Amino acid sequence: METETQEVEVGPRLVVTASPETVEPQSELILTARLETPEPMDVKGEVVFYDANGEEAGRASLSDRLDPEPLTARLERMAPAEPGSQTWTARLESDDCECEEAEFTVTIAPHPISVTVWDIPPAIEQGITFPMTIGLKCPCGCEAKGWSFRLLDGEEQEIRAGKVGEEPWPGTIALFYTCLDLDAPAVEGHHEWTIVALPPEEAEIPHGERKLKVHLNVTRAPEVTLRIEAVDAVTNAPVPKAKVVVHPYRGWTNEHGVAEVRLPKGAYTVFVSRSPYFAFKSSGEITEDMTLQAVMHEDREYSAAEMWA
Amino acid sequence: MTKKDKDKHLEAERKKALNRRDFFKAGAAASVSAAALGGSVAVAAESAAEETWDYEYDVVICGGGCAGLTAAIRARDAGVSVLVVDQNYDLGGRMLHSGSYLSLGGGDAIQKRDMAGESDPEGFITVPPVEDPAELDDNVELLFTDVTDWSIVDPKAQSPYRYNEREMMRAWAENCPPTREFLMQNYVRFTRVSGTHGGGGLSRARAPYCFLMLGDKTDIKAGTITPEDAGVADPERTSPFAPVQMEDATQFVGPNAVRNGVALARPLEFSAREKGVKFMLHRAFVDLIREEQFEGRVIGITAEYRPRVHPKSGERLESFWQLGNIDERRPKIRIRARKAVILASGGHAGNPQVRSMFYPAMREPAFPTSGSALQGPGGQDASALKAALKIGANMAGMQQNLSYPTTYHISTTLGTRDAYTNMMPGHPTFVFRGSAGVNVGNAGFEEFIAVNQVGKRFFNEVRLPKRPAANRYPGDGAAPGRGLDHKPLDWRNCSAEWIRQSYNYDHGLDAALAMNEGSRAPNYYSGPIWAIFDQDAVERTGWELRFPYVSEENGYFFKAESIEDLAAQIYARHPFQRVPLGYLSQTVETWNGYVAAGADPEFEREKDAPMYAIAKPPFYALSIMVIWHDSYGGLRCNGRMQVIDMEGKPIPGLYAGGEAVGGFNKHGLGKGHVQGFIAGTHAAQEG
Repeated sequence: METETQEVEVGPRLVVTASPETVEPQSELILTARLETPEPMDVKGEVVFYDANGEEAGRASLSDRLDPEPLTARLERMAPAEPGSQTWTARLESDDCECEEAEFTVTIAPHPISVTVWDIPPAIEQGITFPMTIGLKCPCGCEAKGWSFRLLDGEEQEIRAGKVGEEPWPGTIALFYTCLDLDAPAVEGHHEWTIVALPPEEAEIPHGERKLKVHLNVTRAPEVTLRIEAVDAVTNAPVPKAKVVVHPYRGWTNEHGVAEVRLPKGAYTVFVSRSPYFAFKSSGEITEDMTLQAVMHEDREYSAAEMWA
Repeated sequence: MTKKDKDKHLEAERKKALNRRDFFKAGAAASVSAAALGGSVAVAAESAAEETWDYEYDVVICGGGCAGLTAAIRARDAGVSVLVVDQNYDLGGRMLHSGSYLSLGGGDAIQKRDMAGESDPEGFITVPPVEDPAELDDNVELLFTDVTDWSIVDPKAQSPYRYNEREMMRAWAENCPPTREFLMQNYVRFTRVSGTHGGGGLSRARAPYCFLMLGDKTDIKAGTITPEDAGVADPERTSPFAPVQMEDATQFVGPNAVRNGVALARPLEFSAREKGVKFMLHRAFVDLIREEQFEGRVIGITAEYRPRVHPKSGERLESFWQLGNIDERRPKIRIRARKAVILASGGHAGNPQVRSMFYPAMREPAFPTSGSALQGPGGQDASALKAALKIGANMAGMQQNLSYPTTYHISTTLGTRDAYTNMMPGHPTFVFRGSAGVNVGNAGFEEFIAVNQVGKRFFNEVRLPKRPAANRYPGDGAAPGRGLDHKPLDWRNCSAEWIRQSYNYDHGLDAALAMNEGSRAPNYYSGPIWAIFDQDAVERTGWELRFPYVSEENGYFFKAESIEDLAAQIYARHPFQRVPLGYLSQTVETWNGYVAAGADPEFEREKDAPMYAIAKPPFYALSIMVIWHDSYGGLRCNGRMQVIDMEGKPIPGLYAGGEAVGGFNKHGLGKGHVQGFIAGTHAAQEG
């Protein structure tokens, strides 16, 4: 059986791709329009992109032809917030060439959930109860009131399941939170737990599950006291309000430049820092109560006059 | 406009200026009124003939900063008519914004005064000399040796003196003492000498500051300034007189003395106006006019009207003083220079395309030059370089941008694009800054993580602001012999053993400028960089995150309830954030793991400073700025500051000074003033 072949004249046409194929809400969306022509043509003009509502989403000029590459126009813009697949269009505005409007698909991923965890003490003594505050928020503006989470240990065993409360954290509008009291692990050392924010079933807009790792430093009971006396190297005056970090322990010097840190015996690095000094650093073994003098040298900034004459 | 109309207009302008400020009412007015019209000829512009001019002056100076104003006064003193055109709305250029640390030497008058333990003629200086007499015992030969010393290598392993242009340096050294005296004769008052500025040599102390005394009245002749004009009455205000708050100079003068570039720029401007120099502001110099493109004399310039307008009121900014100003608003004019043109319109630090010749990564327009709000978009725009190259000029010191440690650096002032000044509200150009920024100092860099445009860390934060010292008296640790023990021209200064010992450059700035996942062809911009921290950091430090230090409107400070919100805000509202900070959430999560572990396996930050989690809301972002400060590559000049062409010959009628000139690796004012002094001297003597 013979098939009648018919030559179809193919005119210039726009082909548009959206990248990435599934884009996170309100992140970068790259639209690339390619003008395909039967023969190489020099076409000047702009491609205008329209969103699912027919609103102009932006415009981009056709690049100069670089044979054998086709003519392209590239637009970088922020993706919309609404999840799902949408049909957008693009139109060529040119005196040199006419072609039909092109349709293309933009797919927006489910809304993410922001997880914020704070108030975890930097050092947690074995077996004690310690605080943790968990906050959930939808960056796209959905209200996270009462949304659920799970708290998993390093073996992915659930420690706690809960919900954030009805009120946002003071000073915020949409960060809903809950305060937990948790039992510290019995084993000394570093522990990595995971918060899993669960997609709210009742929300109209789909959300993606989000996991956040949190880190615990579980320590033995303190045995010795490290007394730190921070003094100015030149004047020998006490340096108050200096930060003291004896990882993972932290403290501040008082008005006399003194801080006391209780810790287990062991090897430590001590930092004492405060503007405008260089950070004081000392490393060593602490086996008994001891006093360390932190001599603070000023990290003198160049003044504008010195730099700018 | 006919000449008659122009004269009438000038007279009206003169009266307006006299009424504007009390300074000129007494004393100066009579001499100025006589000088205001003397020598200047405004020519009718109706003729379209090629050789018609809109204005004619003996000497035309492009730029009213340290080199331009000095040259203008010097030429005017020689009895010629002088016009200064400047792209900004006010005079002073970067000099007005500077610290006034003016390193000259060679046995100049201030060195001698301090050696003798004397005070200044007015008796303002009540403190003893800072430096010992031996440290001030200088001469021209020693200065010339110092500024051409082949043996000096700085802590960045660069040679700041080796490549300086020798004829120009000889002339510079010889003219340092007379320039110092010249400045003193034009109302500039110098503090005690204290050290030497970068590029000014290692052998002797050569740099005092400029000062004024706080008083009831701002009176340049009397040497006084009110606290309001000095900007010291309110820590959160600057004045139209002083864009940068003046600093206490008690240590170098005595009680009630204040110092910075205001005490240098305003006296010189006062003197220039008093002596009859004419000024055309809001007027960008564009091109030189030469008899033939590559032959003959330079006979004039073209200049365009580019007014600086307040973005909110729509009104044109006006200079603090107006005496001698020519209010010319035609779009483009031709100005004849009967004797010479002097190029003093600055360097190229504000022109990303030109500075990328030296460091391609600095084509990134997100990073400005210092004092960008004060200077405006035409500041340091390479206008002199561009115009002179078109008529065949040669260049010098093209590698020297890379051989000075503060040519570009990371500022410790965060949260503003204009991150190299402490200008506060009260100055007319503060509106272009929008925020004064938060100066966190070097120590403040331990409080946050620094991320690039895609939200990734790129270097040990506490090392980012560190800068190697400039190699200057008394040594800054970069020469084996410190102070008077330094031996010029000694091979030991650059022995490999010594360089290994003294090398001290961290390359954090270069990591900040590196390409990243958001860098795209053809320019591969590195994008902006951000300090990211939390509420705990604010409570630890007491940083004042409020206006005027930060602004929630200008796109350089953000506060958000979550890290994701912070990233989204930056992407949406920062003018140079071209891509999302897609990695920021992961970066913060990873960082918090490092903090808990007490170790930063990526950049080993735990070796330098403590680390803090970024956990407690709200979260903050402050912009971190790379600032391109100086220009060292530029036009090649001879000892008379004549611009040299590609054949090695002077271009007749063309001189240059300051940052337009290459081949002198000296930071600061000392270069510009002396070069302006030399150029003004010789330009006025042209036939």
